[in-house]
Amino acid sequence: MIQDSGFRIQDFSLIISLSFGLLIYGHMAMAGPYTDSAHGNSTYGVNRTATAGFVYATGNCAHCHEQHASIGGSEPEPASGNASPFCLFADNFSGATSNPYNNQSDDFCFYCHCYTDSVSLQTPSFTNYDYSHTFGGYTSSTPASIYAAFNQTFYHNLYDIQDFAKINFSSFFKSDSNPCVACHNPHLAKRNKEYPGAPGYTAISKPTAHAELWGDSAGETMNDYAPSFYQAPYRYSGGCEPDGGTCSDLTGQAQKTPDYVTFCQDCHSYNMTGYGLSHTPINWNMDKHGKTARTGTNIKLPYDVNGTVSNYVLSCLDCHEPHGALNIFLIRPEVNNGEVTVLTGTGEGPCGGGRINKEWVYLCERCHEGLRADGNHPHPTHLGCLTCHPHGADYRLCTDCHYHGSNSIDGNPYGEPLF
Amino acid sequence: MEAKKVYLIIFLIIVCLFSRHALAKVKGLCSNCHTMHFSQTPWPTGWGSSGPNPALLVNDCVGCHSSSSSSTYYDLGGCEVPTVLYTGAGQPTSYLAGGNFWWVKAGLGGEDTKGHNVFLGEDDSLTEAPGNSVGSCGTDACHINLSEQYSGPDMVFVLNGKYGCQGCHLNVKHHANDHPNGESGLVDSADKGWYRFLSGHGFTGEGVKGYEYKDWEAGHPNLAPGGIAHNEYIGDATATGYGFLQAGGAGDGVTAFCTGCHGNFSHGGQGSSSPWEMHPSDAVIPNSGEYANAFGANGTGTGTYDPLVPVARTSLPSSDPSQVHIGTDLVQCLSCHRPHGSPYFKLMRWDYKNWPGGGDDKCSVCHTIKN
Repeated sequence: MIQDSGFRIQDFSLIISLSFGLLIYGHMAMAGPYTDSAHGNSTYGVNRTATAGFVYATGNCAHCHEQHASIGGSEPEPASGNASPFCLFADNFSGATSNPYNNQSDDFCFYCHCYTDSVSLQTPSFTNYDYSHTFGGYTSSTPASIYAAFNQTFYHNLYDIQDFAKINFSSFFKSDSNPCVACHNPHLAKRNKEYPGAPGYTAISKPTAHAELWGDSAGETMNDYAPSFYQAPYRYSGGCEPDGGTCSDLTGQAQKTPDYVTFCQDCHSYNMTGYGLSHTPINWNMDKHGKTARTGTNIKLPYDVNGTVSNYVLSCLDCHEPHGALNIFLIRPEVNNGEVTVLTGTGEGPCGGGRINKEWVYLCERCHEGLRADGNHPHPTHLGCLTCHPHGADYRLCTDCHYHGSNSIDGNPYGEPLF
Repeated sequence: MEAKKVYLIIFLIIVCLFSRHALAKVKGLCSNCHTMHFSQTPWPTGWGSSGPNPALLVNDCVGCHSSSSSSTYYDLGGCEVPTVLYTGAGQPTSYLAGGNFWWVKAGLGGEDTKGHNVFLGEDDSLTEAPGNSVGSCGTDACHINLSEQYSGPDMVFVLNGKYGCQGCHLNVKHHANDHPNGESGLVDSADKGWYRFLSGHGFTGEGVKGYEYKDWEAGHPNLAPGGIAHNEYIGDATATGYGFLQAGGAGDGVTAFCTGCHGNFSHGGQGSSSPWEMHPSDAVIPNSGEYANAFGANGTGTGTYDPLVPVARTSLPSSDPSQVHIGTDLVQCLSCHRPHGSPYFKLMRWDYKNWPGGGDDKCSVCHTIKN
């Protein structure tokens, strides 16, 4: 009888605990995908200054959508004068074929995602640093907004994105859709920047699966793409990407990283030469940086040639910025805990010495040994020094031979992938 | 003497034969609403203080359609009269599908952003109807506001000097042969007075068609979804213009009527699907994407009718008022707004402005993944 009473007290305690739990977290269970998103959050979501004057709640649709192209018969800032597709307060895209995007009206998202690089309509303004900063821990990286990121020397061309998406993802992407929407669903995207180690807060959606987030579910991380083969690179501020976690926890860090390969391949598995991308389509199964087995041993930590991992597979964002960069091909300003400067590819690079075309060493040596003059060059002897270092002429660019999909030199098959 | 008896009998027979018509529309004693000389002593409680009124009425529109009871209608000498203005101190808890003017009336709600302010000289919120596409009828035209007496041409329905209720209910026919007071019925013609006496100008010969529920949706806004105790509206997704005739017109439903003043929000101004430039009105709710789950349909094509988010039908009477047919039924102006007044900013039917965090997200009834 006494035992029975004790059991009831425990049971009662459990009920009380569960009840409090429901009270505290009940709203989370009730929340939908929009209110769980960065834009729909009632605390830090969309909050257009002009619309907030009507006391619309933070996260309310009206901050982006004017159902009747006006509120109360007049149009809050910015007053475009006309109704815009999707009931937005301004047109999605100006049609600018290249940057610089001089005006926020070039892309609807720039109205708020500009921090102090322009006048943000959002209260308060906010930062969106690049991948190297947010996930690479490289806080010296300067673009603090999406607007600034796309206004760098090299960038994902918004016009091309819109054009490509209209053709290939027409099931959801319309002629007036925003180029950003090809990769982001504004009603779902979360603030991964606040939780870099939690892919459940991913901000991306695959173009082929626009109605859902990518990276937040089982089967959508780099560990799923390359089980036990994805080693996250060093993070500039310590530990490994994306959050500074323990590098030896290869699987754990891989599970924190969305499967960017599959994500990017939604577009880059197409032949995109018409958009100036001569090395497409990219087949990551056929590149050594991808799933093809390695052949050399000159790799740096955290990639460990003596370790248990027989082959490493990289994520696209280990080397590339998604929005824009000062480096060509959108190469990150920081890779594997080191700064990278590849402004043209033709510069002297880290070795100096007055010879050009060595700039890529900045990038390649982040993970590969022996690329400098005093290094143990990894190239096989049958190539010969003059292949890359001809007498009386400039060095050859690394990218003459090493690029996505390459397996030949000057048209002669090399016998194995060169990238 | 015998001849007089015969005449009397014939008269009584005639009265009996046509008694059904006499019971239609309003019912009860004539003196409920009319007075011959506007000179009673003592002055009856409930009669208006100013007069005499047109048609020998004892009160003006709002005077008769006011009540201190928070309900959709009240009993006036055996006649059920819909309440458009609740006169109690606190906001009404029950009101018409079209809302209540309590929220805009000075001294009561007093908030012009929550309804159409029809009270003389009171509207100080807007300078013209948002989306006005008429523009040239003068500053006191109904298209501009409803709280100033119109001074322009009579527009067939003798509109001079009129304002307020009569700015929308242009040609009120309380004695039209529609359906018995207190009973439901389809109202679809000028002879029946049009739905809620909502018509175009006389020269159009057009008006709103709709199904009037018998008790003005008593219990609204707390009616549970899935019932049949509600009005039914008609819409036209094929329309191209605004009003009843302009630029092809906007059909013969409430949307057509609303766009007579708010023309730019009509088919003529809202763009077309994929993408819309304004929120569509009288557009079919697609049976695809997130909309396939609208009204709880979950892809079955059939959802549950919600009086808080009323849809329009392509024809009336509808096959089952308790259901919403995704892919056929339409979103309309009234899906989101209450024309008289509501507790919420911009006449919304739910507390949209304070969502998320608070308020209510009825948008997700259709936009099912935007919750």
